[in-house]
Amino acid sequence: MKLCLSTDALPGSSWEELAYAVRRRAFDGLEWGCSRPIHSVGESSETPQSGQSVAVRWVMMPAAASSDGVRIAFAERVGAGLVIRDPSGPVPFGGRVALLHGSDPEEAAAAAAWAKRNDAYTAWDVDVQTLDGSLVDTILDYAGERLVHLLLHRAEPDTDGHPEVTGALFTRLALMGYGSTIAIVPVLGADPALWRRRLLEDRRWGCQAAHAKKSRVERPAP
Amino acid sequence: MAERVLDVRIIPPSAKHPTIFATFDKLEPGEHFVLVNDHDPVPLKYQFDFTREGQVVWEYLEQGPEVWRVKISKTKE
Repeated sequence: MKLCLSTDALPGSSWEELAYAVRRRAFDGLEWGCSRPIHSVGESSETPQSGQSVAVRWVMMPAAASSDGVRIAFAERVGAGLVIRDPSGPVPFGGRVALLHGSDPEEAAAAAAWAKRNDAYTAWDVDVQTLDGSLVDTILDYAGERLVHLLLHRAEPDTDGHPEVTGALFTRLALMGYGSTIAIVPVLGADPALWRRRLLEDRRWGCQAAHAKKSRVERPAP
Repeated sequence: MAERVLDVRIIPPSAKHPTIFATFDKLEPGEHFVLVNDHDPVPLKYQFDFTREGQVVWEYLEQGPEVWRVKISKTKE
């Protein structure tokens, strides 16, 4: 598994900030979210100040814009895959195409079947707060090797989900040898300031012991 | 099968160690996974040594400054 950062986590940020966040956390690259516009095909994937490039792994297509030519051309230019939501109609794209599905096993099975028919892939939009943990195995069994990307909601710092479900999901992904990307994506209504602080300023989370120690240190004196 | 990688950097702190132990416990003897973490998981190693004595081989693949990678193997019976 390789961790990515959704551009939706830092709305309105500069390219330099996105690149800094990716490098600071040693992520694998970016998922170009729907809320970040692409103004031109030639939009840079280089950081102007440092000259270091940051990979764009996936470009998300907006819900009703599977014919958005600029996003498709941009994905081709930067060598990213394309995540689509609507499988109807041809997608004029030379790279990898993944069809997004949610946590309904039937939907996942249908997406996997479509991917198999079209020599394409699937992406799973998963919110661990609403995911039934008992369905993790079923969904991953349906997806199989066609699954190439996860959009993970309620990992850090939106942690009001169910840590045990996140743990079960990661255990299963590790054991099945999942080698592709997982993007951390803010939930709807997430606090942008919290994400900015986490990605651009805060220290690492650490383990439970370190987290508890840090909490004790930061607790104000009575 | 591709390399088994468990990246716990974005897992909530309370779930990190249980997830790592659950993954280890599901390995067959002789198998391994690569743990990716954002700090040196020394406390975890102590826990492994205490709770799964003689079952674990611990090998650092990368030691910071941003990422630590540890190959955690289950010894053959």
